[in-house]
Amino acid sequence: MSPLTTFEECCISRPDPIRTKVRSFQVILALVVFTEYWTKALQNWAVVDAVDLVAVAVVTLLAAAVVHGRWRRTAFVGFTLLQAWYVWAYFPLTGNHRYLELMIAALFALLDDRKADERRLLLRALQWIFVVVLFYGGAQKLVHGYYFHGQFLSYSLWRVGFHAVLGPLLPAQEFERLTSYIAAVGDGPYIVTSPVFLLVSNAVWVAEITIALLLCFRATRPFAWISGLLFVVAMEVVAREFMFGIEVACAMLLFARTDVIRKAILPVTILLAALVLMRAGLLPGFLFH
Amino acid sequence: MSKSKRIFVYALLAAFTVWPLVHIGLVKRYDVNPWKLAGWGMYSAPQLPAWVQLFGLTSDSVGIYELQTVQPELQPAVDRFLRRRRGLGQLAEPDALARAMLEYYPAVDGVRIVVVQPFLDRETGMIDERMATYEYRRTVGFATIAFCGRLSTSRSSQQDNPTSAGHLRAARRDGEGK
Repeated sequence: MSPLTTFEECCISRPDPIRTKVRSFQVILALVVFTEYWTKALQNWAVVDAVDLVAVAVVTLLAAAVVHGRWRRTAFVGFTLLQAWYVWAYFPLTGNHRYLELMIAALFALLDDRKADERRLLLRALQWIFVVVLFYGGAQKLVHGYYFHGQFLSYSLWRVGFHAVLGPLLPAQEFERLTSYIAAVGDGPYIVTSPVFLLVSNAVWVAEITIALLLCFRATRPFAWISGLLFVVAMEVVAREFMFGIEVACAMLLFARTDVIRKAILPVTILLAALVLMRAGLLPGFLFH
Repeated sequence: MSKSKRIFVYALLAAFTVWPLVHIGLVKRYDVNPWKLAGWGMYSAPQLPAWVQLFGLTSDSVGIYELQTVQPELQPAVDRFLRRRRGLGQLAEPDALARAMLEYYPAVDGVRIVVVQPFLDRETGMIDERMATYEYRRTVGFATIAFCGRLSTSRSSQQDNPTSAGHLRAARRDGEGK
């Protein structure tokens, strides 16, 4: 399949919503993984080693193959192996989004999206994966109990994104107290009394679990994916984990009735290019993870 | 699509769905990092890095002495252990570090490694710390001096709960003592 055909399918014509959705997510995933390797290498360029350079070269070729379209499935075999290597090389501190990308790449390699039945299973599998991720994101917060009294968010005020967004929700005295701690043994208490702060803190895990459950039912799915999209954008304004955020945000679009996800390819590509240029120092940047 | 392929995909999705429950259990029981290992627990709890206190054990009157600085030759072993500890919690034990220390200090009879793990107490909101102590004694084996293993493991936390394996003790910096 030529790049022009891929472009047509993803950006202009609508041959089959499921096929367009799957192809669009493939392109987005490939570009996100490409950006991850490049931004990591650029961040540590002075100490990057031969293995990292090979990984960057390989991911560039694989991403090009997916965008081109013709060797897409073979490229995802490559992505699966590359991400498996990365997970192993950095185990046990590998970021969770790498496991997610590994799982999805494996599915894209295993299932042939040119066949209708496999394409349908692929879409359902992708949707289920992100329901699971959202649900457990909220469940873990509920189980570990650091959001009921704002403990985690107040502890996180040292982080730039948290500081900027959550600071205004606290009375000045409480904000000064919390930001005076340095997370040393004996520091605290990291507990807040501000009702607004507590509401926001508990809204986080409630939203994750609720959105995940509502995505499972046809009647509530439109509300759920739009809420999920807004929720992810809001979280990433604070957390600034853009790669994972882009993947989850685009995954929400998979739940739409139409293939609106294809319209996300261009803005996502521009955003990812900007992140690479920021890391390369060619654009003024801000901190992101 | 073949039936085996379909079953394989469903099995993969089932494992993906169930694993986070196992992960939650590992976090609760072994202090495994909720941010790692695909449990989707990012931002669910603070991540506070652990550190180690290293001691040499001798049979003379000194008995036990702390190694105040880590020799450059041992630093990689310390870093590797702390890295694994940060991800795997108590599932990562310092056997390799102990082995490296016993090789580096051939005159000691054993080594003690105390792993200090700060944590945010969700009830009090205070930063507290837990300690896990590992002791390794050198034994004379068949032909060579061989690494023996742990004699005891004791853990400390804020709750006093004596057990036969050692009791839990709190370490606070507020002057209330241990």
